[in-house]
Amino acid sequence: MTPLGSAVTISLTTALCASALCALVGIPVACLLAIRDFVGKRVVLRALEALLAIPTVVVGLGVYALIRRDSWMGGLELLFTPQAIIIGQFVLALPIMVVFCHSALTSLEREALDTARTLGVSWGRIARTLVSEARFGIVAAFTATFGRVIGEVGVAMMLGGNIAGYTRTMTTAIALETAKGEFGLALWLGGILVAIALGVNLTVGLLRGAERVA
Amino acid sequence: MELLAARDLQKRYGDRLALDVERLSLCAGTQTVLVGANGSGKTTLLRILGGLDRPSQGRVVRGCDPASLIFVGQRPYLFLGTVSKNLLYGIRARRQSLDPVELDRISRDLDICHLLGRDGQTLSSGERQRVALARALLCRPRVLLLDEPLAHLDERSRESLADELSRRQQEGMAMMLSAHQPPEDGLFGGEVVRIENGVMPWPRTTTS
Repeated sequence: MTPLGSAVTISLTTALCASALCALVGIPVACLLAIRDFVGKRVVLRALEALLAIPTVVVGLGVYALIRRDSWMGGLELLFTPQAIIIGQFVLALPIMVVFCHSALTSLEREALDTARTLGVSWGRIARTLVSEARFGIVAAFTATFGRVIGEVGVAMMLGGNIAGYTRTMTTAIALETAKGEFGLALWLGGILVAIALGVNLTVGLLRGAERVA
Repeated sequence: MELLAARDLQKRYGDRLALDVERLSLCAGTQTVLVGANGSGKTTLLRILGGLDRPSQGRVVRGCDPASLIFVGQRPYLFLGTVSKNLLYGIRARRQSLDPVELDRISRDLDICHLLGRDGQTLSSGERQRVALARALLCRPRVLLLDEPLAHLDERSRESLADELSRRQQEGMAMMLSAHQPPEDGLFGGEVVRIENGVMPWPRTTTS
């Protein structure tokens, strides 16, 4: 595979895996925060909102400290692997998924929650119903999460190590090629990155529009 | 048989005491009409009884399964999708089997047969109200709490609803509905209870 093709593939794979993991964990957490009351809920929400602005290199640094060879997770030999990038991107983007999903769920009318609670019987069904009602907002949360992880460079560089054909993503390749003075390849990669980000947003927008019309 | 009871219920919003109910009891086969002006505490009381809000003080004791207690608000919400999907929601959640005869009768009585294939979001307030009432009745609740269900209903729908509620009452369902004014004579049986500034004296004859 060409360097360009491999960077695109690695970027898409890691970003999609990290976004899917964020959805898997983030949507239930957002439901819990939206439906149930518990002590410390506000603190959790404020902390998640604060984490939206966390720099990617700080996340990279934190995860690096956890998975470096002589740390307690060092035995797993995750450092400088695609899995390490996925873990870092998951940590980076989970707050985005939770906060945006929570916002989508709580922006439903109060009557939606009341109706789901009085008719839904189990918390699982209530949560599924509300996720279905807020699906446009939740898809937007997924898009924002994907956009955040596919375009980040700090985590991919620190945890992936920028190994050609293995952990070199589009963003780390752009940084490297620019440093080498290879602007042509860097520009190509930048163009593809923008096209992917715009393409995902455009597709989601069209799907939402089609469903609303239907 | 007492299906729902409350003792020393209070609800405060800051310093304001919105609800102060010493005692209340809904028994099987009874209908209670809660009458009060805007802001008198009707919705607050029904929401607390329905388990949607917590009282600041006091407690509600249920004598039935929580799934058999249904609250229908004054601005009914229909889920995304068709009216049919909405009607079946509660039944599916309870893993109950659908009785087609009952579905047909309730749909005809509440005049929603022609709406079954429609998108729930495109209905008028009155149509939404009728669909929400049918959806609740199809679940065969043992306690039904209706917050101003007559607000958007025409005369025919009111009479049909009253007939259906009377039928359910005979089968043992307890019902409490709220209204600004007592409904026309004979439309709903049972006790009329007045609530004023959150205070509701509970008549002794209504308790078990």
